Amino acid sequence: MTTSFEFSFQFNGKAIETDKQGYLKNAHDWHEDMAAIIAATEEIELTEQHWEVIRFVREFYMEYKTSPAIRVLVKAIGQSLGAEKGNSKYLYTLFPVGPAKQATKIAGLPKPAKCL
Amino acid sequence: MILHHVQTSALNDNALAVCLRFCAPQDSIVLSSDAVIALLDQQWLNKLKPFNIMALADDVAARGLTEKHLAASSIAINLISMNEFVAQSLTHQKVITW
Amino acid sequence: MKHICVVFRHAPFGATSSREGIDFALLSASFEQQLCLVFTDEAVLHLLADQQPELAGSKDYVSVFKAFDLYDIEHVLVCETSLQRFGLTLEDLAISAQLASSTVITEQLQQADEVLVF
Repeated sequence: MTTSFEFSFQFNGKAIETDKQGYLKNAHDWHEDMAAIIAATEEIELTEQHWEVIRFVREFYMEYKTSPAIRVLVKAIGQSLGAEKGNSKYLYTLFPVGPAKQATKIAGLPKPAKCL
Repeated sequence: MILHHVQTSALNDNALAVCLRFCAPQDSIVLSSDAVIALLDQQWLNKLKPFNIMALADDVAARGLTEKHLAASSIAINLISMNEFVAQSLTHQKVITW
Repeated sequence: MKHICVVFRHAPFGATSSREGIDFALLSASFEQQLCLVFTDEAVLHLLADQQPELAGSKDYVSVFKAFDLYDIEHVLVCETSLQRFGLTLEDLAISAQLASSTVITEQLQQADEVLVF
């Protein structure tokens, strides 16, 4: 039986439901192999630096049950990965449209409540 | 100087109780909607006594409460109109709606 | 920058008002407002460790409390009377909060630019 969603994409023969902006509806649907597919829609080619941030927001969400907005993301990364990574210039180099928006999307998380 | 606004019945909700616990001596309390029922309850009246108490006249009248009922209360209650409520909210520093 | 005081007075998970209050507080903090959170009456139960909101059919909006310092929310007051009433102490709480007497909370309400109750 195929379920039809208003917005979705195919992954390993399964339909993955998203919202209209492409954020996964269910964070548990996410798989590491899915990241490159979502990243491609954002025109981002994933490097180890990207992965560090993606794993970070994923862990942030698992612990605090919310997607970090940019200000909180910068501060949290600064605390655990150091100041050279915990600044918006570095994060914008990796995710040009918006680190919080794009990293959470690639990590299969809901869009942060507020993105400046 | 704060104007505290309570809208729910003290028998159903903790709004009035919490408000009274954190009310400063110079503050005022406005009771509206079901909160006016507290005016019939001696226990609540005793707690309201130290403060400047107002109640919306329409909400009191709507419930069939007259001066006779409130006379038993033995505390001064100012019955105010909606316009007076607005005026009060402007003369106080801020309004807290509990 | 405004000094905003957010008061919580309802039990967790029974109503959506507390969740709305938390969303409001986090959003205000993101806009760099100075925040003070007050937990009183049954709302002090929001701060208990080891809660499992999903079991009560609620979204988990309490785990984010542990991230308050990342949001620069430094002032979290817990009503002493309410905590005592439920036989709890600061050690039962998931986050570090300040035990506050009624007098201290009254002063907070007086000092704040805006007070919102949830």
